Order: sequence, then C-alpha cells, then structure tokens
Amino acid sequence: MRRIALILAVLIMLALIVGFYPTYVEKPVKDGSGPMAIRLAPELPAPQTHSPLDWWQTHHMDVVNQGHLTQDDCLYCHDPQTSCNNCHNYVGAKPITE
Amino acid sequence: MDTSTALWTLASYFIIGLSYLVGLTFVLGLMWRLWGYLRTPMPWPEATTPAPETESGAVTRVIGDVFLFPNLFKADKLLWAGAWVFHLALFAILFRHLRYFTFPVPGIVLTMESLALFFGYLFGMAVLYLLWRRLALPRTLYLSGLPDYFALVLLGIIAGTGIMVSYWAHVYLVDVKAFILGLLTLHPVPPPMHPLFIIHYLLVLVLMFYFPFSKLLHAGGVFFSPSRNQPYQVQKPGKRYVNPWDYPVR
Repeated sequence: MRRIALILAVLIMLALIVGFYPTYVEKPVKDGSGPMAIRLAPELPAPQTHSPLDWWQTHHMDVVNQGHLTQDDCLYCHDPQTSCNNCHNYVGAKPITE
Repeated sequence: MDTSTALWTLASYFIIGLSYLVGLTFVLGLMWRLWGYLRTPMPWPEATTPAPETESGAVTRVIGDVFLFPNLFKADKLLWAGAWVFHLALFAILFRHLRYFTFPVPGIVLTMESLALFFGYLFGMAVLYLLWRRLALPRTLYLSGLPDYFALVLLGIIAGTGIMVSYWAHVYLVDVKAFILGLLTLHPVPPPMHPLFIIHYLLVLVLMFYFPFSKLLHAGGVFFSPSRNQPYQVQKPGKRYVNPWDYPVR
C-alpha cells in the first residue's frame, strides 16, 4: 500500500512538473525583443498620466477599477494584442478584449 | 557603478543563490523524509478500527482524511472548521501562484483571478483564529510549543505581505514573473527591487527550508500513516500478515 501510494504520488508529481514546466521567454518590454515585446504606434505620445512609467505599470489597474479611466480610454491608443495582453498573458491576468 | 547599485547587485546574487540552495534543500529534504516514512518497518497490522476491509477502501479512507479531516470533525467542530478553511484557502492561494511558475499560464489559473483576494483574506483570518485558539484556550496553550507558533506566525506574515504586494503596495508582476521564470529555466535575473516583495519572498524561502524538517510535513506524512492506510484484514482467512522483521527460526 505504502509503495503503491509513493509510486503514484511520484508519478503524478513528475507528470505535473513535466507537463507544466515553463519555457523561457523574454519578459514583455516596450520595443523589446522576443515574442512578448510591447509594440505601440510611434506617432502616439505617452499621456501625462503614464508618468512615471514605473508607477503607471504597477497601478494602472487601480486607475481603471476606481473609474478614473475606462477600458475604452485605454483602447483608444492600445491594441490589446500588441500592447495589453502580452503582459496580461505573461503574468496570468485577465486578458483584455475589445 | 554607485554604492547602492553595487549593494543591490550583491543582494540579488545572494537571493538567487539562496533560492537555488533552498529549492535543492526542499526537494532533497522532502525525498529523504518520505523515503524514511516508506522504510519505517510496520511489524504488525495496526489499522484504527472501524476500518475498511479492502485495499481500495483503505485508499478511500486516506483520500477522505486528506480532504475532509473526519477525525478532527469528531473531536472538535470549531477547530475542524478553522483547519478546513485554512487548508482550503492555502490550496487556492498556492494554485493561484501557479501563474508565476508556468508559461503559458493554464486557463483554470486565470479563472481564479476574481477569487484570489477573497482566499487571501480567508487564509489570514483562519491563521488568526488558529493562533488565537492556541493562545486563548488553557489546554492548547499548555500543549503549544515554539514550532506551533513559528509555523502559524510565519504563514500569517507571508499571507499578510502577499496581500499587501498584490493589492496595496503593488509590485510589478512582470518583474516577479521574470524573476521566478528565470530561476526555473536557469536564466536568473535580479528580483524586483521592492522591499515588501523581498520580505515576502525571503519568508517563503524560510518556509521551504523549514517545511521538510517540521510538523508541516504532515502534508506528505498523511499518506504514510499505518493506522490509516492499512485495511483491517486480521480476521480474514488467507490474509496472514508476515512481519518483515522475522528471521527464519532454526
């Protein structure tokens, strides 16, 4: 019984580790390299609200959740596929849909 | 390179090195302890009665122990409720944390986004209840030792700092994910420079280091408890139990 339990537990753990082991991918960075790189139309200037960028990157969800901006305001400049969902998919946040 | 950058680079190397050391200790320690459980002799049948009479029944009983804690339910309903909520919330939180360890992130982990905060608070409340219970009831206060408090306080602080970096003093999750993925794929990068996150992460390392050598290993030991995982077959014809310690009598 104990041996069967251990073998089963080890097999399940190995299967989970092999099945879900992450692959290396470069993190999403604006104008960076790799498949997750964030692309924004160069003719669009960053609004003042996005400065400083560090603060904006970590708090933009609060601004939207508190109703200061709506998702539609964001999508005026941002294409969800190239400049929202790169990061959202990377960190496992809810994807943005138009 | 100025002094603060040099110090941060040094601290990053230390945290990365510590992460690998603790990860290795966690895995090897776990294997060593479980191997010890497996090799511990069971010289006679000792199923706690009433017990199932078949192997599949014994497996079902162990699964029931893992998910429902029936013995605790019989003994102390309030403690059972606190412990059950504690373990449920802990499982949900760990499951949600898979988003930092996997890429691509499985869809089922994404669906938990709206529940994550709820489980975070639930876990914190369960920890506070279990801690209060240890301190407030004379019997448990008398029985409790340093390891009991240490584990609860450690888990409580980890939960508290985790909630704070997620919902109050946000840490940039892209950097967190890059740090964790970097460690797992052997492309280490510095951790995010966020004091609360660093505290949260270092405390998790303490927990991982402590886990295999502490009472917290009941998570693995529950599967190896002979009084629970054996079927009751003493009176069954043809089911003679042979003591593995026996030597041939001359």
